[in-house]
Amino acid sequence: MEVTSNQFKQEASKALRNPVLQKALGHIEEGFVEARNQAARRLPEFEQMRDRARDIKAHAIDNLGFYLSQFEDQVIAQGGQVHWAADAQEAREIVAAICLDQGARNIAKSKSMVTEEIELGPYLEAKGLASVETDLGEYIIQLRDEKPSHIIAPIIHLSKEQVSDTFYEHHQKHGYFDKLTERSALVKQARSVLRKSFMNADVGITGANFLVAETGSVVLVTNEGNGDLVTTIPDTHIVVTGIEKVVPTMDDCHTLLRVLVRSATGQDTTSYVSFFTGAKRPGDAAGPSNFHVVLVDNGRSDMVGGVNHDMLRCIRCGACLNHCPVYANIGGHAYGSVYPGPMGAVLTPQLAGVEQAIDLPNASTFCGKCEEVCPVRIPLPSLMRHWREEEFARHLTPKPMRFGLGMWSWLGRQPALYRVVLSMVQRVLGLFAKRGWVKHLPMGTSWTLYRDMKAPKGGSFQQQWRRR
Amino acid sequence: MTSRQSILSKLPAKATPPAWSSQRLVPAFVQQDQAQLVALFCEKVMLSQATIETVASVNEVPARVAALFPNAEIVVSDVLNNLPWSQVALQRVGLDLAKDGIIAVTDCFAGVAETGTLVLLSGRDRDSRLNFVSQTHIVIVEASSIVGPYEDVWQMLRDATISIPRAVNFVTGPSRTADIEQTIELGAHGPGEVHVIIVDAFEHQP
Amino acid sequence: MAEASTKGKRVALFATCLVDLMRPNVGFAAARLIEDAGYQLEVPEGQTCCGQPAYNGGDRAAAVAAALYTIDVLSGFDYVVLPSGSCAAMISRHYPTLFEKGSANHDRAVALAARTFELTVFLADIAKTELSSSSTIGAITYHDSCSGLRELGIHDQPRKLLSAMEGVTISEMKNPDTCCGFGGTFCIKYPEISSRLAERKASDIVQTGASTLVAGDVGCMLNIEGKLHRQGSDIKVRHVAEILADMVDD
Repeated sequence: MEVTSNQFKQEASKALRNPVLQKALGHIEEGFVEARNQAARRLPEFEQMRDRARDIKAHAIDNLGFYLSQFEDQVIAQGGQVHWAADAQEAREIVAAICLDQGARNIAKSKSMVTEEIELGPYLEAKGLASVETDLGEYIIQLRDEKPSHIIAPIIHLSKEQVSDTFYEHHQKHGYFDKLTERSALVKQARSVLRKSFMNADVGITGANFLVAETGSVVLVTNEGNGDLVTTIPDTHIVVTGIEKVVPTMDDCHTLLRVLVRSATGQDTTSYVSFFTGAKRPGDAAGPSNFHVVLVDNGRSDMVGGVNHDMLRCIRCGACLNHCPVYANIGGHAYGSVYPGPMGAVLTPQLAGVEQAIDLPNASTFCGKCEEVCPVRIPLPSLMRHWREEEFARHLTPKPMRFGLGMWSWLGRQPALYRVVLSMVQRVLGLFAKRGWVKHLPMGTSWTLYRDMKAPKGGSFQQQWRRR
Repeated sequence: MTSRQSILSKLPAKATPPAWSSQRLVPAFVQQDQAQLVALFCEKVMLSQATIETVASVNEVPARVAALFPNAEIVVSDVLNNLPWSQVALQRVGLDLAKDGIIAVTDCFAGVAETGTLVLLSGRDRDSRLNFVSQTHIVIVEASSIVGPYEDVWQMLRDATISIPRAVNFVTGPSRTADIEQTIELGAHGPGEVHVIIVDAFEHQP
Repeated sequence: MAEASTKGKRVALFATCLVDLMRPNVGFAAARLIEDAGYQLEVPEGQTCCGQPAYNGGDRAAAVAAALYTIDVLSGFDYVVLPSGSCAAMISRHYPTLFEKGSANHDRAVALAARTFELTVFLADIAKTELSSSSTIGAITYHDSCSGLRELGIHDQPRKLLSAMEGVTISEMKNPDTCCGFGGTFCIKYPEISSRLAERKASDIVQTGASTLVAGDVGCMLNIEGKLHRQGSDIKVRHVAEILADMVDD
C-alpha cells in the first residue's frame, strides 16, 4: 500500500491553517458524533449488542479458514465464483482479467475501501478499463483526482462551494453550464450525470460490508442506492473485499449491522442493506449473470494471532475517526493513507510497514475516546502502543524523544538525583518567569510557542513536605 | 501453491464446524403482537421519510396509485399484473433505464417493524432494477408479512421453503446522501420518494 | 468525621512527578484531605515517576523497571492514593499488563493495583467522606481528564464532592470529556495539534462563564492554564484537591 504518512507533521500543520477544511470538519460533531450518541440512546440494548458484535467478530476471526471455505462453497453453489488474492497486485490482476474477459467498456463502481487500499481504479485505467465511481463523495473525489479523507464520508474535507466548482468544471461536457449553489441541486445534477454510467455499465464493482458464511451472501450497506444500481444493471458483478469480513450466520450479520450503522452515521439503519447471493437465477427478470467475489488478503492473514489480531474485528464504521480529537482537527489527508484516524494508525503501519508511518501511532493523545465508541470494542490505544514499542525496538523513535525518555526513566530510579534535578528545573523555570509566568523557554518552545507556564515555587513537593 | 492455499494455510485450520450458537439478540421494543407490530411499522416508515397508507384489499391499489398520480405513466412489477390496472386512469409502460422520473409499483416479501424496512426479493417476475431506478417507488406490503426484527425475515424465507434469491434488498425510506457537508439530501441515486401501501389481504406469489 | 474503620489505616500519597515539580500545593491539599478522612498518611520516600512516559513512548523495558521500582516504594500500605487519574490508571490498569501472568512480579503488581486509587475515587467511594468544608470559589467548571474518565470511570466522584461544598456551583462546559490535547509527550511531539485542542477546550471553558476550571490531573491543568493565560483570560485553573481542601495558593 502506497502511503505518504511520513509527511504527517507538515500535512497536519497545513490542515490546521486551512480555513475551508477547518469549517468543513466542523460538520463532524453534529453530523456524526451527536447523531451516533442519539442513535445509541434510542436503543437500550446497544451496549449489549456491541459486546455481542465483538464476540461474533472474534469468533469469526478465530475460525476464519472455516468460514471462508464455507462462504466459498455457498457462493459456488449459487452460481458465483470466488477468487483468492494474496496481495494487492494479485487482486488488481484478477479484477482486470474478469473485466477484459467480459469485454468491459463501462465499469461502474460503488464505494469500497478495499479497492482504495489496492488502488484498483488507477490500475484499471492503465489497462484501458476506465471505471466511474458512483458514490457521490467518491465521484467528486474522482473528478478532483484526490483521495478520500474519511472511510465513510470521502469528501468530509470539502465545502459545498468546492463541490459546486468541481461540477461546474466537469459537467459542462454533459450540458450543464450553471454554477449551482444549493446542495439539493448538486445532488440532482450528479444523479442525472451518473445515470448514464449506471445504464451503460457492463461491469459493476462493489466492496462488501459483510460476507455471510452460511448462505454465501455478500452484504452491502449504502444510503444512496448506487451500490444496488451497479449490481442489478450490469451483467457482471465483482465484489472486492477483505478476508476478515466473513461472519457465521444471518443472525450474526444483523447484530453487526445494528451496531455498524448506528456507529457510522447515527442512523438506525441505512436506506439500503442488500444481500447478494450468487448469480442471476434461471428466469430471473434482472441481475448479473456473472458473480465474482475477490477475497483479498493483502497482509490480513499475517495479523491473525499477532499483536494486531484484534484489529481484524474492525467493521470500518468510522466512529473512531469521528470521535478522535486529532482527526476532528486535522482531517484525514494528513494521515497519508486511505485508512486515517485511530483505525488507520493501527492498520496503516500493518499494511504499509511501520517505517512508512512512524507518526501515525504516535499522533494520538491516548484519550481513549476511539476505544469508547468502537462498536466491536477494539482496544485501539493499546494497539497503537504496540506500534510505539515496535518503533522503539527498531530505533524508529526520533532520537531526542528516545534520549529524553531514557534519561527520565533512568532518573526515576535514582531518587536522590531525581530530587536534585527537580529542584534545578524549578529554579530554571523561575529564572525564565516574569511575574510568575514563563512565556518563553529556549529548550521548551514546543510548549511556549503556544502556551504560557506558571512557574512553580518553593521547591518540589517532596522537599517542602520534608521541611514541614 | 495457489493463493487460496497459501492464505488458508496461514489461518487456524479447522475442518469441522466450530462450536457456535448464533444467539439472537433483538431489541425488546420489537417483541410485540401482530397488531402492535403493524402500528410500529407504520410509525417507523414515516420516520424513514416514506409515506404510508392502508387499503383493505390489494384490488384497491391501482385506484390508490391513480389517485396519487393521475394519468401518470407507471412501471408495474410483473408480479402485480393481475391487479385491475385497466380500470383506472394510468398508463402502464415498460422500463426505460434512460428515463429518470419513473414511477414504479412493486410488491415486497416482508415489512420489518424495527425500522420500517421493506424487504424486496429478486425473481422471475420481480425486476430488482425497479427498486432503484425509479424516482417514485410504491411498495405494497401485506399486513401479515410485517415482522418485528430483521432476523424474522430469514425465518419466513425458510418457513416458506423459498431458497435464497439472488438479491434480498432491505429498503428503508428514500435514497439519501449526506456526503456534502454532512447534510441529508433525498433522492441521491435511488428513489427520492417511497410510498408504502399496506394491504390487509394479499395472496403471495412465491 | 471519618468512620472508625479508617483508624490506623496507612495511606501512601504518591504525589506524581508533575505535582512534585509543578504543583506542590496539590500534594499538600491531597495530604490534608486524606488525613481529614481519618487515615494515617505517609509520603513514601524515594517516590519518583510512575513510568507512564516510557510506557506510552514504547520503551517497555523502562516501563517495567519503573513499575518494579515504584512497586517497591509503595509496598506495605493499606492504600495508595494519587491526585491524578492518569498515574493512578498507570498503576492500577497498566502495571499488571507489564508482567507475565503467574510471575511473582505480576502478583505484586496486581496487589498494588487493587489498593491504588485516584484521590476523588478514594474520598468518595472508599473513605465515603462527607466534606463539610466551604469555599468562596463560586462558579466552577470541571474538565474530565481522559485517563481518569475512561480507564477508571471517574466522572461522578469529583462532581459529587465538589457540589457538596458550600459556595461551589458547577457549570458544565459543552464537552467536558473531550481531550484538552495534553497527552503526555503528545504535547511536545505534536505541539500545533495539541495547541488547537487546547484552544477548543479553552473556548468551551470560557463559554461557561465560570471563573475557575477544575481538573483532576496536573498535566491537563498545565496545558489548559497555559493556553488560557496566553489568551489573556483570568480564569483560574485548580486541582480538585485544592478546591476540596480549600487550599488555593497564590
